[in-house]
Amino acid sequence: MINNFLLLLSKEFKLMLMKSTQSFILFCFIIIASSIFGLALRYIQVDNKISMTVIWILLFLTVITKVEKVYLEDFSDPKIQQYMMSPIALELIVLTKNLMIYLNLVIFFLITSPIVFLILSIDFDIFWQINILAALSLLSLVFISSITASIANSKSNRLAITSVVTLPLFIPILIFSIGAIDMDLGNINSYLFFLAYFLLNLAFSPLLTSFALKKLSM
Amino acid sequence: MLNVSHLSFARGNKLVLKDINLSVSNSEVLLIKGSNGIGKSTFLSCIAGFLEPLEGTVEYFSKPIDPTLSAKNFIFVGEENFAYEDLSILDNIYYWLSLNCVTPNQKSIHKSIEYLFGRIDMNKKFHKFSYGQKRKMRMLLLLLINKPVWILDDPFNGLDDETISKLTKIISMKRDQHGIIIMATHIIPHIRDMKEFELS
Repeated sequence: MINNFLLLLSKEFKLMLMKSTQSFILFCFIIIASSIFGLALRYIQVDNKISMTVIWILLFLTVITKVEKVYLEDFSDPKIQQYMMSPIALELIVLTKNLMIYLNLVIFFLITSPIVFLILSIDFDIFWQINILAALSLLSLVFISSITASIANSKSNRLAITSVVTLPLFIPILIFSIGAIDMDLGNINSYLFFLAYFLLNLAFSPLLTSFALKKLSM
Repeated sequence: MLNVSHLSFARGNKLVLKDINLSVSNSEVLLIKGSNGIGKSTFLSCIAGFLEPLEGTVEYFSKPIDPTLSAKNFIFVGEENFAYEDLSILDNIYYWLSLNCVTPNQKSIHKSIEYLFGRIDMNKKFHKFSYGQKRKMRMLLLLLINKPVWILDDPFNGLDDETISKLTKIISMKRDQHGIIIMATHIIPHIRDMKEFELS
């Protein structure tokens, strides 16, 4: 069983690598959007907080688009039927897919973040702290987006609209990420909220996502 | 032994299936017949446990169907292709086998691919295959995963005559090994002593 699960993990990883083109396009969008923002405000002195808000909103849009795209492809009707026939619980499959999406996005963020920092003139002294903050935020963003995507995947259009009820779950991440800039980012306590919020999402998101997939997409 | 008793299913306000009763024993092939849109696929989904019936039960050896029971005993091959287009046929097989907790056996994988596809490049991406070849992929699971009950939705659709006769042979072999095969199809295969059930 464990060997089979490890094999499944390796295939999921390969699958996610193959879908890196999507992530590449999305991170090009981040670079272009932040360039437009930088150019539009070139004569105004913008502090780190506003630039960080831009990054986090772009990150939020990127994650929700990526997760939605992966879920639309990987949880189509015939695939869900096979997942449901598998001895491996759907919750575990959802968890695996979310972790692979996260890995893919975090790698791309690490690659593109120096460019975005340059474009938005963000202080490079906090480069690693912001990357850690983004990596932790991305975990929760991916897991919440998976609930949104699974409801949006619903066969009924009326039910798909209800996926917007999950959007308020993103707000604490945005608020605390921007607030974290004022805090001492060298202190590990500044990151605890993100860890706690991720653990909360880790507990509920795979259950809610798989429930939505089973009940709404079949 | 698989028993369906008083099964009804509704989609919204519309009753799709009404009071269906049937039983299939081991070493039996059940053919579900009916016109398009009558609810054959819905019925198969109810048996597989994907859809919750409005009323009635589906039991396998007197135990009601639940996710653990169906995962252990059933293979469902639906109408549509489930393989990943970006992966090669070999990677797809490894993926779906690991998902079914089946340890891949190189020899049987190669033999099964050769039986259904003939000589092909196993590292060719799945999206490069033709429609018919993609349909064959679904059948590979039947050869490589050993579960007692097969639920097949339109298994012969899109297959050439040669593959239809191969699949018929595979189904007959499964029946001879005390398996249960339930299928919905408009193409009637030449299988002896086939039980039929007409949905109306």
